[in-house]
Amino acid sequence: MLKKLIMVFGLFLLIPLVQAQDTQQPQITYRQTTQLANLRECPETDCPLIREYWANTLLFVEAMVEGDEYNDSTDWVQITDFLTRKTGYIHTSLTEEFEPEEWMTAPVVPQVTDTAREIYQRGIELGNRHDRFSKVGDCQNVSSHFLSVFDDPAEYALGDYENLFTTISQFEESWSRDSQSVDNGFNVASVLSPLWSDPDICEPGENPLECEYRLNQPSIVIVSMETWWAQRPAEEYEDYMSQIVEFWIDHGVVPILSTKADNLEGDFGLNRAVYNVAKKYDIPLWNFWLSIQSLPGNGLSEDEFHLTFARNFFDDPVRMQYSWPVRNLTALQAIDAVYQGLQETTS
Amino acid sequence: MKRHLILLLCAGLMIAGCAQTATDPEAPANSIEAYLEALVSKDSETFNTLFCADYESEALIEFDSFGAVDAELEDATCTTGESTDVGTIVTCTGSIKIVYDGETNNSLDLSRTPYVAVQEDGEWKMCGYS
Repeated sequence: MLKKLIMVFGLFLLIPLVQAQDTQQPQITYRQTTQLANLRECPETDCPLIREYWANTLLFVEAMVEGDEYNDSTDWVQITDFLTRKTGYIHTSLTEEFEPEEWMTAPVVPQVTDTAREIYQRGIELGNRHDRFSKVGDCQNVSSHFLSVFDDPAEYALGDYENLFTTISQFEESWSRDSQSVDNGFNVASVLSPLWSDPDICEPGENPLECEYRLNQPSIVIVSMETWWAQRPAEEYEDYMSQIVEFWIDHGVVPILSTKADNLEGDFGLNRAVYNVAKKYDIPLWNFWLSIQSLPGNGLSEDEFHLTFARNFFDDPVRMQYSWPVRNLTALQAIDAVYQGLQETTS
Repeated sequence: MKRHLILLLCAGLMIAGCAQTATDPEAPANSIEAYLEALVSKDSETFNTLFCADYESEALIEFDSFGAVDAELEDATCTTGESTDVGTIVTCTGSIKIVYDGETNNSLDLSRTPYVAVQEDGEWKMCGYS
């Protein structure tokens, strides 16, 4: 009898330990590729290829494992690929230790917080449309390139991402809608100035944000601004970005902020600013920058600003080496994750 | 006596200058044209002297909004209109030509909304839209 009691007691002691192990995340360390590297399905040189990673790709290393010998070493790093979500392996000799800035390690696809759920609920009570989103941005957000394909089934293929079709249907017509707060040459200040709103559509005195909200009344807005004055501090950009975010939050619309692909400013100041604003307001961040680091030329054209172009067929590995399809796919994943997360009850 | 004459002459010139600023019917229109010119040429030093205190925050946003583009005035002409409680109404014609990434992208119609000019510290300044 006593033996049985001790066993039961012992089991009770073990349960929390097992639970703790279940929820424990792998300890992530960071490395980056030093040259073109193959991501393979197992740590062996003849294992099937998942994807090629270009030089300077940030790696979230989950474990170091033993595998085939290469360059006098049997060490391989284990990672999860951001795009395919597959676990893969790269030989350590093709990588080096790297200390990323905090913003660089933000996930590509955001998670929804209670703050965002509260904004969303308030917006729905105000009459915001749960089946509409809006866009705010510059040349990398115009509907000829950004997201509009999802309203035309002939222009995209989801491939392994079929689960995203529900969200495509949910926001039908928002994908290709011309936003009043998107135009070539817009920056974080333009969308706050009535000077830049379309006089044929917007009311006198309305700035592009106010005009877009009145016309569309969305529940989610995706904000992506790539440029700022060359010689001016990123803090000014951050201040304007905060004003944009506050406008949408005041109207019960959940903003999804985006990092940008380029680093024309030289110190990643604008991406750091975007990250700071997302953190300050506890709103979703789509880390687009991270999603394209593995692509040739880090996804940028020779001018180091414009994105490399291919059509949006996500089942074509060749096209997925270009940044426009990756931009559209990860934006769709971000909107999907945010929309699904907003439907959950506030904890 | 000579010194008195010079002083008198200077005072006369100053009064005449002030009177001209205050009564020149084109002064409000000229101030709006100068504001628009400084805006598109991104001349912050001049720009910062051309708006009234109440319009400062909006004016600075307008200035910063041109960061990603090149711009120039096209056939811009402004005309002084009636005086109202908020200031003198100025209407303009012409446009701001916007060049982005080496291509003409857009133009902003200057006639869409009348401007308001007010006199502050003896100078006519841009003070918003009517």
